[in-house]
Amino acid sequence: MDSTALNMPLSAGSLINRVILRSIGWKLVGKRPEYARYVMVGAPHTSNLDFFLFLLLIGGFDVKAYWIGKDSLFHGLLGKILTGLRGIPVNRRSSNGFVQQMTDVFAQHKEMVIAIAPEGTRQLTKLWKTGFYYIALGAQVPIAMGFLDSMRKEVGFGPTLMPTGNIEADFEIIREFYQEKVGLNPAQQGLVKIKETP
Amino acid sequence: MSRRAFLRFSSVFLFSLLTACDLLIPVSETPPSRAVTQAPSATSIPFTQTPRPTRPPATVTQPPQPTPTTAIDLEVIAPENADRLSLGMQFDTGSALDFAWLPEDHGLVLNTTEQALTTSEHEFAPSAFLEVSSITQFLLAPDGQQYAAIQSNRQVMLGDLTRGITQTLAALPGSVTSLAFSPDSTRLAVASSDANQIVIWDTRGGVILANYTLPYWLEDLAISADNRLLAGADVTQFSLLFLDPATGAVLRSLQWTESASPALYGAVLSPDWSQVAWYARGTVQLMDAASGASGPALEHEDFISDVAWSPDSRIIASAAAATIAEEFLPVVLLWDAFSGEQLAVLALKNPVTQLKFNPAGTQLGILTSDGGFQSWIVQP
Repeated sequence: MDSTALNMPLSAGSLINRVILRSIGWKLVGKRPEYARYVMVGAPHTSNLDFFLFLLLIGGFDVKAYWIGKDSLFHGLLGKILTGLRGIPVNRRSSNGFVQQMTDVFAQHKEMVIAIAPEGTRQLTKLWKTGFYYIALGAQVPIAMGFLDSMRKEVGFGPTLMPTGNIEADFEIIREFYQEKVGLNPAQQGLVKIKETP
Repeated sequence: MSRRAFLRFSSVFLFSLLTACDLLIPVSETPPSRAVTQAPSATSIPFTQTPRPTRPPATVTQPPQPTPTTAIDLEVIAPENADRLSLGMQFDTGSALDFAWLPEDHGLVLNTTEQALTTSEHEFAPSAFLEVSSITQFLLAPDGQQYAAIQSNRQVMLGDLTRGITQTLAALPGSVTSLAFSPDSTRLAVASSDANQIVIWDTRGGVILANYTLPYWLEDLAISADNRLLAGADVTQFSLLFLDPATGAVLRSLQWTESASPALYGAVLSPDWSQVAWYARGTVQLMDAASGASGPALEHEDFISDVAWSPDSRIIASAAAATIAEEFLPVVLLWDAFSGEQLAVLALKNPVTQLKFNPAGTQLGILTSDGGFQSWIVQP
């Protein structure tokens, strides 16, 4: 198991995030993934408010999650701010390709959590984006299923999955977990589905 | 105040405090709305300008001998709609970073790590080398003769395919983010970051027509056919701004607010300025440029890297990644720009670095990260 420094007690920030969640009627469920490096899926994503719940989720579990940003943003003062906000610049036109760049980022860090919204939009979408899966596969790190469920008023982590390379089989496990989760705006929530492989 | 309301208020306050201390908040995905008319501070800032006129240098060098063609295997795995596309040519350029189509199928201009050169579109057989090196961006004017070259990200030069570099226009203080010729090729607009500068030159004499700074930097510049509007994307705010090119005053703006990506990848106007193709992550969202009404969303599997409009504004080509035969491969997709219907898919071995239609709209050129070039004949 690729785990380091994961058994530390929860910080004051974590407790505050949990108190905030409880005060608004939500609760934190599941366990923090027992890995130092993983891809964190954030779904379902149907509302702007998801973002704040996501922050409470990672704050509640003391997870330092990074996000992927366009490289042209990372220059000057803005670049320093975005780097401080745990942004990782990616050149989408790089000769390495997007997945390889993210694989390299994982290879360079002993601890790294990259959060990604597989729906890619708050709008109703027919298919999930699959980049998160291939980043995890390329980097040989697990996928942690972060979620929110407005019916139960829960945010948390579900199971983790080590991608096998058989995306259709692996996605069945992902679909099974997420299909019962209800977003804040159910009308904008699409099916947990990927495009059929030709 | 009820206990519940007090708790809510306390939660928000504590949350704000926590995030401010921990710097936890990533870039907001919902930009603040921008006023339809906005007059940003437009300040002229100095930069190094080379005295004019600059004598054209010696004519373009002829190569001592043609470089032998090296055919490479750019495997096409999944042409789903073979009747819409057929492979024209493919060859290895060695190290091309960028390319431009010459008019009337007279070949290509390739910008390599070493130099810029013109070549046949059928094979890598350079016909002339342009006397300029270290070009980080290259743009051929619509007249097919003039070009703008950005050297080392900051030095703006104007050239001519026959005479070579004719003018060194300026050394900008910030990195060039975008450049655009007007459709009549008489104007060159350049945007740079850091200083958020816009400079517009008259290409006929190198005279500066406008020079100002904005509160943001712009990408994907475009000049309208009548030279009265300058459009550019503010990617941090998911906005496409239409400026008075002379002053930088914002006359109108469009916004796309539905992406989950922290930043807009780009907003590209169709050649006729009727539609905007916004793109980020795995979605290209079409929008009517006049009304701002959303059109079809072109859903990709993930990681769009480039978008190109056909000259008649009817087809969009996009480069992204998709699962093909159990592999996550770079792909190029063709879309009907009105219906959003996917017309064709090409799977490639290497990521796409540039995607451009030829001026007639009959061929789609694809440059890949290994330096391979291939042209695809597009059936109407």
